[in-house]
Amino acid sequence: MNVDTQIKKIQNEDIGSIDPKSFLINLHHKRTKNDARRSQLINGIYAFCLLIMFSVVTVNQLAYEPGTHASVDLMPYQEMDAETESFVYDLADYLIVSSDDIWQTLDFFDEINLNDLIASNYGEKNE
Amino acid sequence: MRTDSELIKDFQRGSNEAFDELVSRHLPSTFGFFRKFTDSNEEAEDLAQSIFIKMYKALKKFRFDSEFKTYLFRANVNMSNTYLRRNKWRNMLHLDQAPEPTFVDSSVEDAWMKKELWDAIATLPKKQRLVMTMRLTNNHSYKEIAAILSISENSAKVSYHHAVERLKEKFKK
Repeated sequence: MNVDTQIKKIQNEDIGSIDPKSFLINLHHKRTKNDARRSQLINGIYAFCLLIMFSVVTVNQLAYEPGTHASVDLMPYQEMDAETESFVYDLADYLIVSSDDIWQTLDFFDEINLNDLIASNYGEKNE
Repeated sequence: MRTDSELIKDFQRGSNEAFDELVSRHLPSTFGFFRKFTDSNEEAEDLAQSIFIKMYKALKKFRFDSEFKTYLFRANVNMSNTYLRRNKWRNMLHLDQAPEPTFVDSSVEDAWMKKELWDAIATLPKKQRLVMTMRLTNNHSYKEIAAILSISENSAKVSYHHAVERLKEKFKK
């Protein structure tokens, strides 16, 4: 390639003209569109951050307070009323009667400390 | 007629009409600048629009450290480098779609050589690239180049000379 010739060609190249009015209309249209797109993007990012923060807070609450949930779940087991106790007792009865292997059922009762429960609440109170 | 600085001050006070006047004033040179290394008027217009959209934001904080003309020219050069770099990648990725040499007519060959030259200019050291771009796009005199880049006239001449030599060397290979 002859660099000098190419440089001269570019320097002498005839460039077309441009209509400033339509250019300005297009310019402002494009600018407004860009601004709208940017603000949408920013809103999206804010919403995403908010969602992440909310998720983290929620998960943290669930993850770091297992005691609360456990105690809420176990409380009725230790302080159950007479009606619930009799229901548990009947349930145990039913399980013994309906099970194929009574020893397996009794093992299960041991696992959940059913005897303690009945002894400490229903049994003692009702004796 | 209001000067560029007065128009910018008016724009900073909230007058969009001042911005439009500023754009109209510098549009021919900016469009001409981009038209020199693009293939079409549309592409040059797109680049010019991108530049003026950037100016719309930048001018709100313009501190009048330099003349607007110089500021705009530097922005144009930066934009042209980005464009050339992007185009280079695009061309590389579409090499398989390049026309067969036997079917290439002179206008396509001219366009190709022009592109090659601009690609080579994009790889020059900063000062040489600036001087070369100014000489090619706006036919600036060395005196004008020296004033815009805040260098001596001789330095501008030497940079141009070195740039041409480098390009010749590149195309000899």
